[in-house]
Amino acid sequence: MNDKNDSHARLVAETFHGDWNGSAASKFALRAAARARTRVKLRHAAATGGGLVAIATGIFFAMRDPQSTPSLVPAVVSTAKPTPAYEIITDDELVALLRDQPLLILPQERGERRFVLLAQSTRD
Amino acid sequence: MHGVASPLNAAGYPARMESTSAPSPLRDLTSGLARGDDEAWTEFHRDYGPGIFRQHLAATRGDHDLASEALQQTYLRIARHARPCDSAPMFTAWLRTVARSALHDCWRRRRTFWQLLRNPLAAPEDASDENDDATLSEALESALNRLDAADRALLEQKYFSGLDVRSLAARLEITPKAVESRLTRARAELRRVLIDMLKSHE
Repeated sequence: MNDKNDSHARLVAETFHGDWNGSAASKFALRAAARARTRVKLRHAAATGGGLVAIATGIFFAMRDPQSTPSLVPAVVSTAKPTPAYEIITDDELVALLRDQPLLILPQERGERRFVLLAQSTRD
Repeated sequence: MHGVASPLNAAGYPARMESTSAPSPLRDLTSGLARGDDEAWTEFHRDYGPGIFRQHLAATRGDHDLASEALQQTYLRIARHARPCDSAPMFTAWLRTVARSALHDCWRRRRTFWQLLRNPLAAPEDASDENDDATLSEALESALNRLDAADRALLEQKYFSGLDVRSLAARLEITPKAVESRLTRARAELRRVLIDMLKSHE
């Protein structure tokens, strides 16, 4: 396609299209030129729009209330052990804890014991 | 599927073709194509259009409509992907790739299922560009040889010797308008013979 001086190509082109420079095919070139211009405009518009969006985003973040922004400082993690919701103790420890209160001890099957705090049960 | 590069692949060429050397005429032209300058596109159509059309006509074995459609699609793809370029060989190779790809897409769009069944081997991509060019050149030579001697001489003087219509008129001692008429008739006859010859190659 090194056809700047390719007389054969020109002969073929004009054989099928008449005067090549004034033929219908020359309108293809002008149409392509218009398409290229449209693409350039769209590209510029997209670049301008992108720039405006970037500026608007920057302004938005710059004007935001600093207190509403999430802190970048990591939350302090407490090293103190949490107090457990309950504690498992032995029967003897329970008896020791309720030493001054009336307590009924009922032996159960398989050697287990049931503790009934009399003062509370009478209140109930 | 043959190895036609897509326009996207082809579009990768110009970026590599760019260089920082001094502006060349080709760079001016390709920059104008990328910008969509009417002047640049007119120049491109004048200088490169015949070669692209010839490539399409050779590949389609003289199918003028398909070759013209492919030419239009080629221009549109060039408008989409053109970038400034300094290297003539690379630009020419890129044009060939874009042209081949555009023709292939036009052919595929046009080809119907039944045509495919009837003649599955008739795709233009079956032959290489070089073979197509050789076939067209051969057919053109034969077609010129079949023309009336005066018509052939007129076409050769116009296109191969580079004489303009005014010079031809002076040489033949007829008016420029008469030369134009004779040229038109000679080209019409050449076209008829050329299409017959290209179809006989199928």
